[in-house]
Amino acid sequence: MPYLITRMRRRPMRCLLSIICAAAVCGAIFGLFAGERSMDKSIDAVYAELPVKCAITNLRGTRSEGLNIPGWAVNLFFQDERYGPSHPETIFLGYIKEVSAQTSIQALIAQKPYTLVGLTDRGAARELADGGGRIIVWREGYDESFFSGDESGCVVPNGLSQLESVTVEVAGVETVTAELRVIGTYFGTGDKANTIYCTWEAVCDIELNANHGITASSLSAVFSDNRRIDEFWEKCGSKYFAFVDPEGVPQEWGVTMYRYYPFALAIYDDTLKSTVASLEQSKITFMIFGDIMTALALVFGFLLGELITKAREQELALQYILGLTKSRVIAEVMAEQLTLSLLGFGLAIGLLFAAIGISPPWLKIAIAAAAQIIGFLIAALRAVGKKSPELTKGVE
Amino acid sequence: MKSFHQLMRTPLRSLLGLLLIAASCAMLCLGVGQYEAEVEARDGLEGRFTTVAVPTNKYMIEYVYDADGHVIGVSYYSSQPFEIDAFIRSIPESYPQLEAKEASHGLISASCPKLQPINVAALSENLRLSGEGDTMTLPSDQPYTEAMLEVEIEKIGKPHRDEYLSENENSGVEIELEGKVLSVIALESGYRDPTGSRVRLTARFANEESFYALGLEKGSRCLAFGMDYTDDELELRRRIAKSEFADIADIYDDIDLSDIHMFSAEERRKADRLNPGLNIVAEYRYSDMYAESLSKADLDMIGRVSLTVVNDPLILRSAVDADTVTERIDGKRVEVTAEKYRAKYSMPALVKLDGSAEEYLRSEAGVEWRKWQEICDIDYHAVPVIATPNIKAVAQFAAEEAEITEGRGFEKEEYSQGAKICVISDTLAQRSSLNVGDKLKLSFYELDESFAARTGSTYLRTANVAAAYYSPLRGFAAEEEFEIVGLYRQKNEWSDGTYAISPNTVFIPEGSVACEEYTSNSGIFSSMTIKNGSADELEGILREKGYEGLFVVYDQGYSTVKAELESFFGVSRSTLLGCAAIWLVLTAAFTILFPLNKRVDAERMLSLGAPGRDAVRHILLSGLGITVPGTVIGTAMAFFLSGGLIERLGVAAGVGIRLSVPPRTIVLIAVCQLAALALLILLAAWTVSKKARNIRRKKR
Repeated sequence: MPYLITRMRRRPMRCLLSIICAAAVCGAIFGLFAGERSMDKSIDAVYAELPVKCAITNLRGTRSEGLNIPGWAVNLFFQDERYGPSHPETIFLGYIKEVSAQTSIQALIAQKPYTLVGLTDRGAARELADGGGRIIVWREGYDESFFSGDESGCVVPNGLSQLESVTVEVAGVETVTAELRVIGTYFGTGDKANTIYCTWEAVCDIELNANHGITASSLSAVFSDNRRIDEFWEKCGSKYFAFVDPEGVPQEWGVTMYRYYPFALAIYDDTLKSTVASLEQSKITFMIFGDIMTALALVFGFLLGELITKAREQELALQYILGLTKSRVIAEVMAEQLTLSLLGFGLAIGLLFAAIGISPPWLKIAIAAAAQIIGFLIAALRAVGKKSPELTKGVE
Repeated sequence: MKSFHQLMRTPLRSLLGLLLIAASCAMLCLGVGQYEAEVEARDGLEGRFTTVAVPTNKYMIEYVYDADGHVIGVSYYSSQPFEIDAFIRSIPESYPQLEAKEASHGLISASCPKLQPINVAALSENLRLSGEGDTMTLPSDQPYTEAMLEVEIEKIGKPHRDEYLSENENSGVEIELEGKVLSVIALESGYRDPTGSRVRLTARFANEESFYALGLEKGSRCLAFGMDYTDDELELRRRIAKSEFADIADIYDDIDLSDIHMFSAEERRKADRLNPGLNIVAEYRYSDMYAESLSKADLDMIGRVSLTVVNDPLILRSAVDADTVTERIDGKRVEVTAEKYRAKYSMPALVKLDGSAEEYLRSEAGVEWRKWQEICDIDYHAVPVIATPNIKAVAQFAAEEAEITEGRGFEKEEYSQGAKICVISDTLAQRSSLNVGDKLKLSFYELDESFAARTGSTYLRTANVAAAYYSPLRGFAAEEEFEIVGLYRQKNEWSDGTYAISPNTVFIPEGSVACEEYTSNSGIFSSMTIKNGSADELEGILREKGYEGLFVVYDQGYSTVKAELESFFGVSRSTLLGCAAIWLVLTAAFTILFPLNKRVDAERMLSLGAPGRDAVRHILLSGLGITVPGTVIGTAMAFFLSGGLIERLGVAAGVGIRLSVPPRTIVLIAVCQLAALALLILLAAWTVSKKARNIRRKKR
């Protein structure tokens, strides 16, 4: 071993070159892998953070509000048997979160007709969402979190702002009366406003008692795992809804209740798809670069080995003449080169690991290292594998 | 030549040199290529996300408080107050870090025979509307409700002034006529054919005499032209459908009015008790459980259409008996005589027919009616056109309520060039049998503010803008051919939201037509693009200035993935640096192996007595002998890799990769590399030449 080092010290530049080449190849592979991983992380983050919504729409996908969505469809999103038949084989809740829904029912307040609107959140009513045109002035102690609860309160138009509570009468299969506390007033567009906003739970209760069933005007949700959107569609969505068809051609469903799918389920994932596609493109670019670099390592290794062994041809021949076997000569060359390559690889891995902090692509690096070593071996075999007279001639 | 021979003597070594140079050149080219690809991807991604700030109506509402501070009234304005408008306009200059750009979208009207706009009045879809929107945002059926019908009069009512009009004697009289539609001369194609239907004509005349002068009596046939055609039966069907069905557009025609159950005397008494004063006489039964109550007036709507005819333009100005009226011409008020006004703005209303309607229209007397028949045709094919400086800045697109589903939007340069391209809704495209790539010859016309009967509500609207009525007095302003480059779809067509647009709306790049546009600082007309990721900063500014809630900011989720996108852009920079480092290493390796190595040869030559210039030439030739072909090979490799190999590998991996390095960039990189290496070789040659001079000096 000390002799190995002594020999290397005699050719510091060549040794340095070997180390630099190994480090460059390894660094490039590691760097490209790091780029690939970084893209992966970005893709994961985009999948995790970019909200993708799905909504029940008409067959053409041009309307997602003002629909009469029956209880069985509502139950798919809420998994609450009060709303309609249960669907144990397709659990929507495993794929979705933040269900946003609206239901409405006609009611009388002091013999005047009003529409009771039940919301799961403020955004479920477009006119109440940011920029929607209507602004709620909440009474003390209340804010928009009111909608996610089940309190029997309501937000009334400006005309009813003086009231502390309203008594609503809903005539359905049964006549239901309910007392709702006024907890806010809304202003804004709509001179003839006759809408009373309540919680989803409160209106559903009234509706269930009056009609023994509910219908929703709109229903949407956010996917809890964007990577499972296709799976959701395959296993759940497509079992109950048609895919949006711009032509609006009814698709046969053939269940007892309906001949055709009455609704489509629109999945608004264009932004996700285009963002991920860009990131995927970059990731694949890095992968291809990495593979090209691994392939180049073989060529580099071979040529570097050829060059170095060629330069040491006389020295190797001399060793052979002095009695060393060919295999021993090759073993010494390989040991030296292996040491230098490992040093180069180690240096690159160490530096990049310290800088980037991710574990290196061991397989690719091993392939690159093996490729280099094989290159050296072939070159060394070519150099030492000559017949003895040629070697001796080289020394002379 | 000797130097080249020497290179050939060590082919592997020379090959290594060539490879090093070629690889370094290709590596640098690819590094730059991937960086450019990433820049392109970044632009694409940045372009995918557009952060748009849309002014809300928060400051267009003024509250009236009582002494206790309770809100007792509210005033609404159709545009932003002056102070707010000034602040919005000052944002681009005052806060340059936001990179804010105002986007003012302008409305023009255009007609094209190829277009078959959707008439909301004839659609079942409009029954979805809550009816709570205001006149500024509700979908408009303008200008498709003009109709010209041949009618047989069956009943003539007595002239009267209705409750509203009685306050103003100058609004003329109303006579209700009932009859039957004999034929349709002009009607928007969306309506069902009313031939044979009952018709209710409301004749608004300046006075009773002018009506009786027509000589109409029971059994008379007449031509009627009005601008508010209504299919009453459609309205009734709509009301029935609205109460029950899910997708009315598909099934409301299935409503069978023969399913109406007429109440017995007992049922009527019961209905009167439950709904006093509503005169409920029947019900439409959806099922055993649900029914829609119908009054006598409701039943009258079955098989009936209605139309209002106005025989004097001054009725609409409430100036029937006035001698003079003011007329707005180019924004100025001008006093004109009533006769002049009538002569200018009269339209056909009602005329008794002695022969057939066709004969009348062909006759000299029917010239005016023929003219208005043609005008109806212009209006039936008219659509609102929005000229926009950035389609992504239109509130509906920014909020992802509308998206391009086929084709594309507009490119940056197309706005500046005023390209003759347009984006239409897929609903309009379907109805008009149009698709991406088709061409439309749009005849643009401007709103005639002076023509009281035809101003409609165009310039009151802040959403759901509609085409203006065509004015024959102003004619067409421009006629241009536009290519459809994209189709958009809305999540909610025919909504009555603050920023709603109807599916008839056509978008064109700003500046693509020279025509007077109508715009406003509110609703769909005004928005502002800001730098992606600066939504929070804008909100901070608004808080600081006390204008909280002035804008609603849409960024399509950019803020949630901002960090990831930034790191993504960082990686491409690192890769470029990595490629540059590899280039440096490979170049250094080449320098060690060749120019510096050849220097030893040259020194040997000098010590053997060779002339200094020979030694220098040896270094130059052997160095350049590798460098030049190596760079050429590297350049070719870069062309090959960037020109298809990477793309093909990408396709094999299932991803479309665009890594096209412009040839100019490759050549520039090659020249730079050549120059750098030539410099190194010259440096080596210079040291040799210096040594040669020293040797000569020593010899001397």
